[in-house]
Amino acid sequence: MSRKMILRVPKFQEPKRMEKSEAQRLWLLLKDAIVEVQHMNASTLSFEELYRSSYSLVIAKRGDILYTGLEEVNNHHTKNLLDKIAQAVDERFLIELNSQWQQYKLQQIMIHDILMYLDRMYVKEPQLKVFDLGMFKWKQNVLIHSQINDRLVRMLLGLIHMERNGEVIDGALMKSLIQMYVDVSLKEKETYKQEFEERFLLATSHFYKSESNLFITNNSCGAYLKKVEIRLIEEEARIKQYLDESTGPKLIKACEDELIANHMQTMIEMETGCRTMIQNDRFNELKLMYRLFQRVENGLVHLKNEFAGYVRNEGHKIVNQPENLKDPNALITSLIEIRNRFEKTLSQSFANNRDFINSVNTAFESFLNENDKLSESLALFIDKKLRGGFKDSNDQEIDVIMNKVILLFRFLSDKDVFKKFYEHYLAKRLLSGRSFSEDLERTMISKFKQECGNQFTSKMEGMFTDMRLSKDALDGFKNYLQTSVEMGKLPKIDMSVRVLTQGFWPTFPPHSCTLPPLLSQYCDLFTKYYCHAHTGRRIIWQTNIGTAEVTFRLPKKTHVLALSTYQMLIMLLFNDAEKLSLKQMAAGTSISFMDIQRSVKPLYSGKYKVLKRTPAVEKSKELSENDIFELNLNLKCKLHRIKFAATSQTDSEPERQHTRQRVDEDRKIEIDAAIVRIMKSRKALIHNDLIVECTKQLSSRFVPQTSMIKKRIENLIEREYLERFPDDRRRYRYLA
Amino acid sequence: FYYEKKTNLLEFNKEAHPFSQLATKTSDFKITIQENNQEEVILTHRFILALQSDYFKAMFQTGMQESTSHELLLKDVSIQIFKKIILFIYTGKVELNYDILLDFLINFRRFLINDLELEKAASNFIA
Repeated sequence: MSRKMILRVPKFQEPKRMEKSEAQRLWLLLKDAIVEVQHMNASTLSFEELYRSSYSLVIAKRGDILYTGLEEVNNHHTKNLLDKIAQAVDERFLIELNSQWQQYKLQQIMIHDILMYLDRMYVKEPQLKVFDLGMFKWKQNVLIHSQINDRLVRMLLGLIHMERNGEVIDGALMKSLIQMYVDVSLKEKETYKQEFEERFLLATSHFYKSESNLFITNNSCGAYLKKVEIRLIEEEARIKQYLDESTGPKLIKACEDELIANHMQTMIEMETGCRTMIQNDRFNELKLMYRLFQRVENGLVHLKNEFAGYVRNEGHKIVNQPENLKDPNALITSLIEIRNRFEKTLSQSFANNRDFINSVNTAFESFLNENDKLSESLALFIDKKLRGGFKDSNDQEIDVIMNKVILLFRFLSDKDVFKKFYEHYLAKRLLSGRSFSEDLERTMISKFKQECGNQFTSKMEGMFTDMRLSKDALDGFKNYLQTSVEMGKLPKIDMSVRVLTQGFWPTFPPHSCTLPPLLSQYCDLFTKYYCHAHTGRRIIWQTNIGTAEVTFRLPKKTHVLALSTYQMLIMLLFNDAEKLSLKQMAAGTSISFMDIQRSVKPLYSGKYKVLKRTPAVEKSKELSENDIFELNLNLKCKLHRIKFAATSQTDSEPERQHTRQRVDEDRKIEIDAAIVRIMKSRKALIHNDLIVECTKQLSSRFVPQTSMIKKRIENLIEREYLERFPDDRRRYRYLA
Repeated sequence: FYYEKKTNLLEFNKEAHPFSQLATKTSDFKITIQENNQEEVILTHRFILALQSDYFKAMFQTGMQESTSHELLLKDVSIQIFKKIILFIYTGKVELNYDILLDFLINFRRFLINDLELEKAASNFIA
C-alpha cells in the first residue's frame, strides 16, 4: 500500500454544518457496507457512494464517529473469527487460519480504500492508520490469543522439523502463515521476531546440535563436511521459500555455530580429519573444509595453523633426515618436491589465501634455517645441475627448477653464506670448463640479481667477464709468441692461462711450487706480454687449480693422462727417477705434504693405477712421508685418454671451513659498515637500539649474532669510530 | 538499448487533451456529473485517471460496482470544476480565476490527486 503523506494541510474551507442524525445515518450506511465487505459481498457496493459518505463525515469534523466505529466493527469481527478458527482441528487449523487471514487482509485493503480520505486527512499519530488498525485487531484478537499463538508456532516448527527430516510440506502455506507475523508487526517486524523468529532459531540450534553430534561420531570427517554443506544449502533455500529475509543471517549464523564452529577442533583432530586430509592430499575435502571454516569467526586461523604446523613438521623431517644430510642433491630435490606439493594444496584447496601462503612461507623459513647446511646444499644442488644435470630438461623445466631454487633461496637467512658457496662452485665450474652452458649460468645469475640486486651478483658477473677477457689475452699471447724472437729457442707447448681479477674470485689458498724450467719460461713470457699490454698490473700464479695433459709412454702403448698441475709435477719427477718417496716428491716440487697426499691418491688407488706403492701394502690407506712409489708399467687400460680427478667433487672439510671463515670475515666488514652507517646518521644511540637497527639492516643478507655485533662495536671503539658516553656506558657516540 | 523521450507524453501530445476526438473514441470510462438540473457526460480513460488520482486508483482496484460497470455518477461536484480537474489530470496544466480557485483545491483533494507543488503554488497565490 502506498500511503503518501501530505505534509502541510492548509485550511481551504470551513467545516460544513452537519446534524448529528445525518452523521449517524452516514455512519450506519458505512457500517453496513463494511459488514458486507466482511462477508465478501463487495461487488454490489458503490465505491463513490461510500467514499462520499466518509468524505462528508470527515469534512464535517465527524471523523471520530467513523474511526471509533471502525475500531468496534473490527474488534467484533476478529473476535468472531477467533472462535471459528480455534474450533478447527489438526491440519484443518492451519488451513482455516490461513484462508481467514487471506480474506481478512483483502477486506482490510477494501476498507482502507473506502476510508482513504479519513486515513489521509483525519488520522494523526499516535492513532493507527486504517489498515494498521485492522492488522492490530487481528493480532490482538486472533494471532496472539492464547488459543492460537502457541498452537500455531508449535505446528509451524513441527512442520519445519519434518521437512528437515526429509518430508515434504506445503511451502506456500508456511510462507503465508509466517508472513502473517510480519504483516501484523507495526514496526521493525517486532511481532515476527518476538513470537516466531526467536523460537524458530532456538529450535534450529537444538536440532542441529543433536544432529551434528550424532553424525560426526558415526561418520568420517569428509562425509560430515558434505552433510554440513548440504544442510547450509537447504537452510538458504528455506529462507527464500518461506521465512522473512531478515531471518537469513541469523539462521545461517545459528547453523554455522552448531555445525561448524562447535566441531572445528574435532574436525581438525579426528582420525579422518584435517590432518589426514593434508597428509593424503585430499584436495577436494580440504577445499570444502576451507570453504566452510571460512564462514565462522577464526575458522581459517585453526585450519591455517594446522596446515602450517604440518608443513613445518614435514620440512623438519626432511632437513634432519640422515640420508639427506649426506646428499645435498636428495635434500634439495625433496625440498622442492614438498614445496610443489604444498603449493598444490594451497592453490587447489585454500584458494591461494594470502595468510595461508604466508604461514607456509614462515614455516619454510623456520625449518630451512634449522641447520646451516642448507646454504651449501643449495649451492651444490645448482652446481650439479649446471654441470650437466640440466642436460635432459627442456627450457621450461629448467626455468621451473631455477625458480624453485630461487624460492628456497629466498627463505635462507644466511644469504651471504650461500653466496660464498655459490661463487666458490661457480669459479670451479668455470676454471675446470665443466659448466654445461654459459646461457644457463647467466640465466641463473640474472634470477639472483632480480631477487637480491646488483651487488649480490657483481662478482659472479665479473667472473664471466674475466673468462672472456682471458680468452682474448690468450689469443693475443699466441700471436705474440709467433712473432717473438725468443720463440725460436723454446720447444712448443700448448699453454693456456686464465687471468682472474682478484676480488671477483674466491681466494684460493696460495701455494707455491716449483714449475719445470720450460713451463716457468712460458710463464715468464706470459707475464711479460700481459704486463706490457696492461701496465700497472701484477700477476700471481695460482698453479694449484690448473690442469695439464701429459703423455705417458709405456713399453707397448702410449696414454694421455689428464692431470692436475700438481699431479703433473709429481709425474714429471719420474722422468729422472724410478722410485720416489712422498718426502722426495715434496722436496722436488715444493708442494705441501698434504697436497702431495691428495694428488697422489687418485694416481695409485683409482681405477687406473699409474703409480704403485712399493712394497704393496693392502688396504692401508694412511700415507706416510716414507712411503715409496714407482711407475706402474703394467697398466692395462683400453682408453687412450685417462682422466684423474684432482680432488673429490664435494669439497673436503678444510675447504668448507675455509669458505665459512671467509664468510665470517666478510660479515665483520658488513657489520662494521652497518654500524658506522647507522651511527653516522643517528650520532648517538643506546646499545640495544643499535643492535636492533643493525640486525634489521643486515637481515636481507644474513642474521647477525648479537655477540658478534657486540664484538664489532668494541672493535670500532678501539679504532675510535665510536665512544661510550662517560656518564652512560650504554650509549655510544659517533666520532666523525 | 535504452531510450527516453525528454518531454512528458501528456505535455507533448495535442491528442492528450481529454476532450479531443481520439480521447473520446478510445474512452473506457464514462463519468456523469449532475449539478442542479444540469447533467454532463465526460468520456475518460481508467488508466490515466488511476495514474494521477488515488481516488480513482482505489475505485478500480477494489472490485466494487464502478470497476465493472465502467460508469460513475457524481452528484456533489460542480461541472465547471470537475472539467478543470480532468483537464489537469490529462495535461498537468490548469488555469483558474480567483473565484473558483478554492473550490478547485477542495475537489483536488477530494479526488486525492497528489501534487504538493500545485497546492503550495495555490496557497501562495491566495496569500
